[in-house]
Amino acid sequence: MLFYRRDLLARAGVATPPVTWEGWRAAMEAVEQRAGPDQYAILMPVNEWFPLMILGLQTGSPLLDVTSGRGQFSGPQFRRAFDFYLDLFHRGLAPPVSNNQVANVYQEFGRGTFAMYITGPWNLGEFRNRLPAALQEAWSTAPLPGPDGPGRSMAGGSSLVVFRQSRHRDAAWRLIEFLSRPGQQARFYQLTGDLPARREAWRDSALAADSGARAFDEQLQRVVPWPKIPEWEQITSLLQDEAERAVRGVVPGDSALAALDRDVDRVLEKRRWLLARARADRPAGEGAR
Amino acid sequence: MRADWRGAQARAGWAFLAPALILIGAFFVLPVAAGLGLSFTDFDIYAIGDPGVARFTGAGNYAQVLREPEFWNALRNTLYFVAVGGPLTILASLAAALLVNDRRARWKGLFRVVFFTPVVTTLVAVSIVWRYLYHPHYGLIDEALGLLGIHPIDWLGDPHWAMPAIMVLAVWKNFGYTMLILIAALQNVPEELYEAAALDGAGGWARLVYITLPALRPTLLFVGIITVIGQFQVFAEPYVMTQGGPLRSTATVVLYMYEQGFRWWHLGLATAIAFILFAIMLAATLVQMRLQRGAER
Repeated sequence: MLFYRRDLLARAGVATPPVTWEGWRAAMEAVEQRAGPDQYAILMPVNEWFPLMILGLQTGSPLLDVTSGRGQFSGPQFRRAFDFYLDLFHRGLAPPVSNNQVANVYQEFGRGTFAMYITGPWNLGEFRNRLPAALQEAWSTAPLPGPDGPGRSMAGGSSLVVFRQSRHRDAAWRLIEFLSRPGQQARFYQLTGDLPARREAWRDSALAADSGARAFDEQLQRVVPWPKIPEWEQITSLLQDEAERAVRGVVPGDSALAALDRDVDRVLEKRRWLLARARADRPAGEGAR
Repeated sequence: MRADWRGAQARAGWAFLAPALILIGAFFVLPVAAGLGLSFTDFDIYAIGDPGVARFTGAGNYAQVLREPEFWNALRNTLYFVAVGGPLTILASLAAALLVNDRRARWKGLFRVVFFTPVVTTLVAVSIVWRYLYHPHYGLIDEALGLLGIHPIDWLGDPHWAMPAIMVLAVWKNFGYTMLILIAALQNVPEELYEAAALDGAGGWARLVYITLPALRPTLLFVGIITVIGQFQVFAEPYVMTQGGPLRSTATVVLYMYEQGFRWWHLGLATAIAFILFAIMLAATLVQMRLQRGAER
């Protein structure tokens, strides 16, 4: 999701949020031309992995081949996303900083240090609470632009799971069912600001009237989940480290992605061993655990 | 008869020792042995769910750690931290102890409290304040340097400056503790030695070099060893200030171990790192003691 300063984009002649990468980059260039020193078009902290991961998902990169347990980051699709990402830093549209240096994202967004920021729905409430009243009309949210048209985003958030060995599987399942009812999800949103995962709940009047949430509703039509494997946490760190090296010009983009695939393959060694063992143990047709 | 009495005495001795031995066994020997065992397996997140999938890998973890560029990077950063931050801490605490202990000093109690306060403050709270001090746009430090005509330095964002910035924070945070130990030792130096030296015409510098420092030598050795041991385990400062960045320039061995163990759940590998770090710290301590003994001869 793109959070953006409507006023700064309008001042640069960008009336509607961009839809394609091409348009996005042009909008950022326009904003940057009007920006003062130490002001940037977009903030993509080098210690956050998800903006880059989302760009990769947008180009259709599988990120990993879960069945063979190998990284797919040096493939052409992710390559395209990575080039677009690095280009934003090289053109000076995004500062090569971590969010430690930003100190307070909301304050800096309010000051116009950056005009766009990629983050999730949990920040809707934060932006409302922390930005001064005068700026409340000046910001908005938009679905992410994509390589060739409205882009996909990452289906983030957490999952409700039932443990296989639990003694209360039925009760747990009933709880999940209850929490997933549209009425409950709408109520949950009213209480906490957490956006509902079920489409039906979006027809709730409070949500339908919520301008900040509307963009999320649209984005939810186009989301992809990330690979659900236990090694994911480490893979995101590896991606972040290699991307930072490339952003700061320590290594060229090609070598960063090759190194990333090499590291990811090593991290997934245990998984490949488990998959091979499961294949050997079980008759064909039954999936791995 | 006599042997009997001896046996009874030995039994009584063991009985008195038992509580301590049981505690040490349960909370030190067993965990360390289990950790050592763990370091020879690839115990990980899959094995937490099903211990059956942990594989015995022999020295595999140790070999892997030593092959890992990230480990060497973390070790290099840690050695940098110890080699510069250690002497700095001792110098700062020695200087503060000498100042606070000087006969001419006033408000000794106040200064002792002021210098000791950082030790008892919470690192997390302090690091938030320091993050603002170091901030390139709003930070007091760059503001002050600006008055001297020095361009703002992005302390925590520049791979070259991040580690020195963390060292300064760590020295500031820790020197008060060693200062307290040194003050106690200074108060034990007999006043007559200074008087005799003054009568012989020794100046302040000569008294420091020929009386104070030799008298402090055992304490300085102790302080040096605990400082170095503490600094090899530096974790909290980079963890809260930079999370190891930028460009992994503030990643330390313990931070790396924490990531391997508790973020990525390679517990076998993490315990192997712990034992390697233990060996390094043991070696560093032995070297310090050897140097000290050499100096005494």
